Amino acid sequence: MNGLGTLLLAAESAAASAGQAGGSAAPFSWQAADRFLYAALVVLIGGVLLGMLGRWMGRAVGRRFSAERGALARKLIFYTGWVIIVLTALGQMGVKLTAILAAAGVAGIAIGFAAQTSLSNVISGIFLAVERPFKVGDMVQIADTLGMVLSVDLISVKLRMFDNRFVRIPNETFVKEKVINYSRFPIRRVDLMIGVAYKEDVERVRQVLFEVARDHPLALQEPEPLCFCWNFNTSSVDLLFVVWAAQADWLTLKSELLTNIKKRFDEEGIEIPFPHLSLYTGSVSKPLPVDLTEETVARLQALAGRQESER
Amino acid sequence: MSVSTTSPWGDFEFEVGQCRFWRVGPLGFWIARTPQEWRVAWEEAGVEGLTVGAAQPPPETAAWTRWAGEPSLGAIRLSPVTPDRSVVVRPEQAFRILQHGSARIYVSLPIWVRLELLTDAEPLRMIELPTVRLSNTWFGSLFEGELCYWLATSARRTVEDRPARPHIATSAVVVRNAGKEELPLESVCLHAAHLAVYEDPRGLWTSEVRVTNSGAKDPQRIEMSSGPPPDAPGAEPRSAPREQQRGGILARAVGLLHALPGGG
Repeated sequence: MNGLGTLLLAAESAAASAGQAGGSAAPFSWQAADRFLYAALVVLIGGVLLGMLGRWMGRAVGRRFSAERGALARKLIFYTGWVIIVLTALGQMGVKLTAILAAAGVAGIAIGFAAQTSLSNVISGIFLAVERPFKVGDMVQIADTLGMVLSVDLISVKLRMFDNRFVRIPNETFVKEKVINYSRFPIRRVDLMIGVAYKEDVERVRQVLFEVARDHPLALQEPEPLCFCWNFNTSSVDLLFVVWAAQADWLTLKSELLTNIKKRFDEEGIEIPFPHLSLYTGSVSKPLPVDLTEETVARLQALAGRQESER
Repeated sequence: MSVSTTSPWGDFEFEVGQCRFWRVGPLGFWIARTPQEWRVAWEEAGVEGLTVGAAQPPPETAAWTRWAGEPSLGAIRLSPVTPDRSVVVRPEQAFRILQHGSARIYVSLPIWVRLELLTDAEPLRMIELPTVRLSNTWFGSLFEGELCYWLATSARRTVEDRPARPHIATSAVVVRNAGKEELPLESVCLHAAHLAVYEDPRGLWTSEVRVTNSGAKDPQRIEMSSGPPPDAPGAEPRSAPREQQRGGILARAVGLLHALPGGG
């Protein structure tokens, strides 16, 4: 028998039960009215008590663990409680619960297949609540989406992106994908790759970089800034300059450090080279000389004039 | 540096339309009273000095911060307060404290100037101005710790060395090593929020800090003296601690400066 058939049987059973209680001939029975009244009271009082219990439990769990776990506990209590209330109310009305439960079991399997994705998200939501890779207010990145966590719900996580767009991401995605939490630790490193010309004294450049970091109030003095000679690039000597900042100051510090480095390099005459290419005629020769003398210019102009007249 | 014997701290009355100027160390600020407003503007100068309530007009470019309403008695209270975060400082030279030994160091703490509007009831806090803008630093591990200010000047072993500057309060820190190992002292975290500020003719002082170390991994017990420090027994209170504490706090106050990896 399928789930729908079982449900129909249960409904018939309830109708028969009500009919027996009230007498099939009588259109109205005080006994049946009593049962409906008791059922209504169960729903009403149970609903109020459930709301109070859910809020209390949510607050208690929230205080003990976290706001997300509190919300999850409240929702679990809410849904479980309503199932119990509805079953109790149906029992009061004379509905045979065994048939209902059997029907619910079969229907559950059917719904489970139909709502596979939703159930997966619910279970992922429970994993997220237990594992807590992030919390409300954290800045997280998943794939190419970067934003601040607004809420961690049973089905999905809501983010606010920094251009103020709202994103809803299913919990399952957070369990499957790599998630970067930028707010997990209180301090964060600013990494700057600075290229200087080959002619520059690297030690002097390092000294200037340390001074820039020392003079910036948002740059943490401890852990101390570090500077590594990183690479001999095609047009520059690359230095990796790392400075630590409080999470909230990271972006400001990065921007202001770059500005201040450019300013100091200009003052100190340190060249930040653009990509360029030198042509050599041999391993020991000088670069090819290109010299536009007056004579060369006159010859080029004469050549251009002749080509024009030939046309 | 010009130093006056007049204290910049206390209650100062203002007539309507009056503008007065203070300089406390490198910080200069103007306070003006208009018929409807109080206004404050400030600057950080390259030179240090002490000026108290001079009738000096502000520059035309001064950026005023303004308060409307007239619940006041026409007077402003100026108080020296400790910075709003803890302050980390290095000793002049790192040293180790032997088992069951103790050491006393002195920290020169740049104070903040608190401006309050006097009323019939409690004074209304207007603004707090740092006399020196300190750099940030981190005291703790990469996973947890405390965002602090960094003092470029070093902690000293003797109080006689301290410079007499109007914007500097002297904090005495006594570190006692009750642990079974030597205590390396490379940095000190001064929990400034728990310190009261006092003043005597020699300048500003804060409550004395006593740190007891029990072991390398245990939190250290930090207690603050309830009155003026023993180095200035007659000093008058100028401001209460930002955060009151009873019976001391448990935290790290002394430790290794290079415990944190900087890169990698």
